Amino acid sequence: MKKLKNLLHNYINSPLDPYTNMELGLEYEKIGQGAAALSFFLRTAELTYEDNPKLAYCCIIKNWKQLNNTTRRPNEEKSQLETAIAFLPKRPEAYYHLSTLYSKEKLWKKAYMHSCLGLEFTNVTSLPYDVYYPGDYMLLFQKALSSWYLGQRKESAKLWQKLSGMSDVSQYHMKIIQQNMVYLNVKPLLK
Amino acid sequence: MINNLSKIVINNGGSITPLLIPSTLTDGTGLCNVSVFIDDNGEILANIRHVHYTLYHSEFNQRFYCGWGTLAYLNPEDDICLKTGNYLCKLDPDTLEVISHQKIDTSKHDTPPVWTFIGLEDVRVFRWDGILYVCGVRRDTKPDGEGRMELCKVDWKSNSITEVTRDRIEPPGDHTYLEKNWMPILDMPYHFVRWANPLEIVKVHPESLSSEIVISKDNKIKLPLSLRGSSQVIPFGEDRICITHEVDFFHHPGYYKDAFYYHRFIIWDKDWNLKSLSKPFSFMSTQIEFNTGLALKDDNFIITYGYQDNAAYALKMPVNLLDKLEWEDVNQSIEKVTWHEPLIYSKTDYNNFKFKFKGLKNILQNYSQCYQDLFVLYILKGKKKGTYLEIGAGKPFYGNNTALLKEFNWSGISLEINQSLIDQWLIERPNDIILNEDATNVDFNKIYNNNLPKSIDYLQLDIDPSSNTYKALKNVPFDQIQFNVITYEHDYYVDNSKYRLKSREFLKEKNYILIASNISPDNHSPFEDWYVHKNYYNNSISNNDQGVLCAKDYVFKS
Repeated sequence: MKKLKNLLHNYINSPLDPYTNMELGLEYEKIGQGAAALSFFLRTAELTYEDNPKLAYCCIIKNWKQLNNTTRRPNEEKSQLETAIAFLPKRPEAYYHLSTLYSKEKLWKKAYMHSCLGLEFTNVTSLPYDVYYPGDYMLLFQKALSSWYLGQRKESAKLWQKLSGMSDVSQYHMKIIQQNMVYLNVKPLLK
Repeated sequence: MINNLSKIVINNGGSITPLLIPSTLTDGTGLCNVSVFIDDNGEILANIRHVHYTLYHSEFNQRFYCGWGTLAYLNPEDDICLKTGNYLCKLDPDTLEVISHQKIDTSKHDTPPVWTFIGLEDVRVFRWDGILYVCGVRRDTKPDGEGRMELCKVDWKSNSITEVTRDRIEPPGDHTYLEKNWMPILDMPYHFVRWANPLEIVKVHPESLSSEIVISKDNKIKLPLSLRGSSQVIPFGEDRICITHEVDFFHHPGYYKDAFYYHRFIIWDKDWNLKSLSKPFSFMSTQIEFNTGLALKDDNFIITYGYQDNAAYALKMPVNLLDKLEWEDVNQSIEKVTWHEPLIYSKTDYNNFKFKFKGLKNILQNYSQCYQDLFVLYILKGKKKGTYLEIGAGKPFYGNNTALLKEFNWSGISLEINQSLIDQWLIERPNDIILNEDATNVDFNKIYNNNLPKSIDYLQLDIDPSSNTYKALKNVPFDQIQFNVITYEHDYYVDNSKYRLKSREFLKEKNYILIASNISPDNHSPFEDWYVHKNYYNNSISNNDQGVLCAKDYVFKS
């Protein structure tokens, strides 16, 4: 509470400073108060979209996350991610999140499409705040998963194989990748 | 205008505290509109409204509005209802943090809702005759959403809070659609301030579910917006004090509805004479804020409010800070009312509207007091990118004559002498030119950088009193600028002054044709004349006999 109060003081003294808005949004997010977090992220985005577009982009994705945590707002979740894409279409993060949303709805063609689109824009500069993006490999993961459900078995197998040889994959995802390879009888890449 | 009361408070010995209910109970959706009350044993009670939505409100240039617009209630998509629940809490006496909370169990009196706003909204908490009450508006019991104040006894046990009674109070007088924001008077059991300007106090009779007017004042303070209820009315020395709110609604170009909320302190003496009225303020420099609680503890006010329906705060404000606020000159402000609520055109009026022009079909709602903006656009055939000179700008949207023109990409200069209105313009119409100038002696050459335009599409003249409007008229460089349409406010019904005649003679000499005279919002308040340049004269709409011309009769088919 002490930190929240301090950040609130900063905000009150400079309500048009995007960074005081951002810090307050982050603190509200940390304690699960998604609605309050959304208010301050949205203000930050509106205050920075010209001068610091990467920060504004982070905020839109963070707003998606607040709605995602709340659940039961699937259309507005997608709308937020589409807003992010429309704003900075050459970044991969929002494509990835859209792809995962479509996966959960078993809309595999859309999940596949958004993973492919995201893969067009990998290896970009980092963002100032975490937007729940594990790394570019997850777009490949999404593509492998959705292509399997679309019947593109060979493509899927190749992608799992490629993923198994990547060094930046998290332990959690690597376990899934290896499991899938066992199911599909895919051999690891020779090192 | 006091933009950011919290800043004054925290930098002058006060404090602010976020009020939180764990997100495990709320899914992180909105907490707002808190009401605070000091109980008989000194405990600080608070009712926090929990809404099952997240308010998405984009501010400033509004680059990132969502699919529903700039102001949207993001409720669960499988449930279109906007649901409210209420948590009664105890606050720490020093820090004001929530130390215990319990949702009010309303199941004893709940019936299946028949409208989409569900639950008791904007509750005020208080005790009358030793009984703990919550009182708010409920709109879920009638299929048309009719709203009534409901007064509910609550029983607070150690592990539960239960609504014991629920009395739905009918208002006095004629039937109304929506009654809300009645302010309970804490030292007068069963009395509420129903209206603050002019003051109307009602006494409620829970046993008969009725109410009666017991005090009704006829002196109204001249303000640009209606005062609506916010906090409870609490004793304050020999006087009583409360906080009111006002809402400035507007539409963004094309479609979306939006609003600014402002609040004020108001102090009455023991006989309910108005003593003091603060300038409007925002709590934290945002558009949507709402106060429902005020309490006095030792030398501090505790003021509780919601921020964009998404967050709740308690402000501890030293009482002596009242002296640091800006206050209206109440004696100056109380006068014969010269303001009538705007007669608003909305899209559903299209078929009956006489003065059709290109683009009218797309207008959802106008802003002027008596359709001036639509008249201007009619005369100029729905012109895009027109120009205006607005003398006496007033509010940026409410009752304003150029706000709609901006939706047609007009540009121009607005003059306003009232600094608090200028401050509102800077927030609400930041891209428009508004100058703090005295129009009775301003140098227009200077304003236009020695480059006066040869013609301007629309000239508005409206500054009080009528003598000043006439002075401003005489100061306009008519010999150098031709205006195509002029609306001139003479306020004849207020003072029967000579300035109406003088202005008519003056403008006739300048070759302007009086096309609609004595425009009135009703049948007995002639306040304005409308002129056109001879190039735009249209005999078929001319109506300049000397009688009162009711604006509605003029612009709508009979």
